[in-house]
Formats: sequence, C-alpha cells, structure tokens
Amino acid sequence: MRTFDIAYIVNLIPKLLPYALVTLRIVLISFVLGAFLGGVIAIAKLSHHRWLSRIAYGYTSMIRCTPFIIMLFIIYYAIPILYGVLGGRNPNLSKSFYAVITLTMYAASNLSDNFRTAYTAVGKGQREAALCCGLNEKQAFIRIIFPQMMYIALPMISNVIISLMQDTALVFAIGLVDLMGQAKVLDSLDYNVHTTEIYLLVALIFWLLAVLVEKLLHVYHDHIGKYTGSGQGKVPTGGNV
Amino acid sequence: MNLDISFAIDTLIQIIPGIPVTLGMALGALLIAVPFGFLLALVRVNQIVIVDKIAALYVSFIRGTPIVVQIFLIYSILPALLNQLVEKNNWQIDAYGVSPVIYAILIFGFNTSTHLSEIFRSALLSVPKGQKEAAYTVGLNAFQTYRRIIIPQALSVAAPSMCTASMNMLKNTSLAYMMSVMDITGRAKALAGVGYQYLEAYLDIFIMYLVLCLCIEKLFQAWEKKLLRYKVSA
Repeated sequence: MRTFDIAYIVNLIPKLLPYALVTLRIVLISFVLGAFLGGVIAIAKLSHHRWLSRIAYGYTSMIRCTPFIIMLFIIYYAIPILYGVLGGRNPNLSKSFYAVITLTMYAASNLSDNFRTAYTAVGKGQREAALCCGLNEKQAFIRIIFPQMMYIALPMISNVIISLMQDTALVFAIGLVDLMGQAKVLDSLDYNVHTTEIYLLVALIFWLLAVLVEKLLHVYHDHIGKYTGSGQGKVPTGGNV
Repeated sequence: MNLDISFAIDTLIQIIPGIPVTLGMALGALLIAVPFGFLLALVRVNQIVIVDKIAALYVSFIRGTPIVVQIFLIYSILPALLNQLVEKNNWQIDAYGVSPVIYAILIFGFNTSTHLSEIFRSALLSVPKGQKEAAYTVGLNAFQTYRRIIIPQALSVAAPSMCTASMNMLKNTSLAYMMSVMDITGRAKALAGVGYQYLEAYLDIFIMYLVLCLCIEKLFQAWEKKLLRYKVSA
C-alpha cells in the first residue's frame, strides 16, 4: 500500500477551494428560496382550512420519506418531459437549475416545520398583547412575533443549512461540477491514485464550512438574544425555562 | 415521450428482491449505531477526561461532512487496509472480495451512531438528577440504575428523534449504489440504464422508499406508545 501524501493535499487546496464557492452559492440560493416557500407552507400548516393544512403536512412527510438523490433524479428527468408535454421544445436548462429546485424543495419542507414550531412556541399572549397596545396584525407580526420566532428557530435553521450543504454534495450525480464534482474530476484525472487524499480534503472543507455556519449563527443567536425577552435574557420557549 | 406504465410495473416487480438488501443494511447499521451511539453519549454525559473531547471531535467531524464523502473516503481506505492486514497475517481470505454491503453497514452504522449519540445525550440529560440519586438511595448499583430507572425514561424522550434518525439512515442507504451494492436503488439504476427509462424506475423506488419509511414511522409510533408509561409527568 502506498503512503499517504500530505504534500499532495497542500497542492490540491487551490484547485478545490474555488469550487466550495459554487457549493455555497447553490446552498445560499436554495436556502433563500426555501425560506420563502417554507414560510408559505408553514402558513398553510397553521391555517384552519383542513385541506390546505393536510396538503402541507403531506408534502413534508413525502419529502421526509424520499432520499434526496432519488428526488434529484426524478426532477432531473421529469422536468424536461413535463416541458415537452406542455408543448415546449427543448428546455435547455442548466444543471444547477435542477439542483436548486430539488434543494429548495428539501429546505422548504424542513424550514416550514421549524417556522411552525417557532410560531406556536411564541404563544398567543404575545399577539394578543400587541393588538391590545394598538398595533395592527401586520405590525404585531413584524415587530413582536417574528423577532421572537427567529430566536427560537435559529438553532434549527443552522441545522437546516448544514444538511442542505451535505445534500449539495450529491448534485454531482447529475453532472454538476461543484466541490464534490470537481473532486471527482480531479480523482479520475489522477487515475484514482490519490482518492483518499482528495476526499479527505473535501471532507475537511465541508467540516470547516459546517463549523463556520454553526458558529456564526450561534453568535448571531446570542446577539439577538440580548434584545428579546424582558429581564430574563431569554424568550420563554414552551416550558424550557 | 410519455411514461411507459408497463415498464414501470415490470421494474417494480424486479426491484422487490432489493428490499431485503436495503432493510438488511439499515438493520445492520442500527445494530452498530445504537450501542456505539449510547457509548458516545455516556462518555460525553459523564465527561470522562480526554475521551470526552475525542468523542466530541468525532461526532462533529462525522456530522459536519456529507455521507457521500465518507463513503468515497472509507471505500478508498478500508479495502486496502484490510488487504495489508491479510497479507501480514497470511489469512486465507480475499480482501478485495469482501461484499460492499459490509462496508456500507460499517459506514452507515458509524455515521448514524453520531446522530444517535446527540439524541441519547440530550435524552439522558433530560432525566432529572433526583431520579439517579433516589435510585442510589434505594440501594441500586450504577448498572441497575441505568437499566431500570434512567434508560426507560430517557428512551421515552428519545424515541421520536430516534425515528427520524432511523428514517434518515434508511434514506441514506440509497447511496450504497455508489459502492455497487444491489439494493433497490442499485437495481433500479441498472434496469433503467438498459432502455434509458430512468424516470419510470425512479418513480418506482420513490414509491418504495415512501412505503418503507411510512412503515418504519408506524413501527416507531407503536413503540412510542409502549414507552409512554415510563414518561414522568412534570
């Protein structure tokens, strides 16, 4: 067995690191889109229309039960066919489009659950008190409920971002060249001699990114924690206090 | 192009032999993940010096890296290591002939153990200290205390998250096709490749994973109901 080559890893860093930006860009776009869609789904879940909330819950449990890679392949093969059925010729969409759509579906499902639990955790009293003070529904949500929701949801949101990042590692399967895709390219260019070194570096980059996301959101969490709740420094989170 | 329904049904039937492989991998991985995850949780809850830090680092690394990367990494290291071991000891086995299912079970097992360890840790911490002290006062030893007092209460807290972790693991086994394991995904991919009918095949396994996951969820819900009697009302 050949020896482990550390110099090779050092040389590899400039070749791989730029592709981490591709990964991060996909994560960011899908997270933002997923947050919007997740908000809509959370509203549907909380709504009193029975069918609306059923559809929303059904969507979440479907996503919960489907491996990411399977959904990615389904989207990748189904959209061009659907496009054809609807009368289009050749959609000619970029591969990152399919990746972003699938990632958004997963982000939206997870975030909708987080938003819903955060909303219920804030408590009805806050909204009622805000309305009593003369704020209207919109103001009450933006000024009173939303900041407290964010405080409760942030730790879960950091989990969502990290799992989104890990799912992104699978989009090479449809041929997108992100961090993982580039690693595969480099691996085969090198006749699979340095597979261990390459994937070790990929793992380290992913680890670094995950730790960074967690730490940053943790700092932000503490930061907004200062402005929430009166005197206790913490928002009452459903029996936790 | 339209959906070829008869191909979809044919494929569905041909994929069925992959179900035992998928479930076998998941079950094998759980057999590793539960004890090892519990061990990690115990180490961290009781704050055993140094080992505690190593465990935390291990959990952070495995949780922070995508499972595909782990698969490629381990699959590039382990067979060669095993081969070296075999040559050193002159064992009469073919190191490169080991079924990829074994590697898959190891990877998924140790991956899930980190997720379970976090779940067990918070569950163990959720049991009030008084329970442990009371058990010692009554005269139980440490093992009995864990076995009869702490674990049942912790499990009733951990069960829902354990369900999520198990489902995630079952879903992750779909990646075993990258090690050419013939589970349901591997079979579907092979069958679809013949006539380039990927959408039909993927819709088939989509349904299959949906059914499998819902079954697991139902099983866990039944178990949760059983555990309910251990729950201490606050």
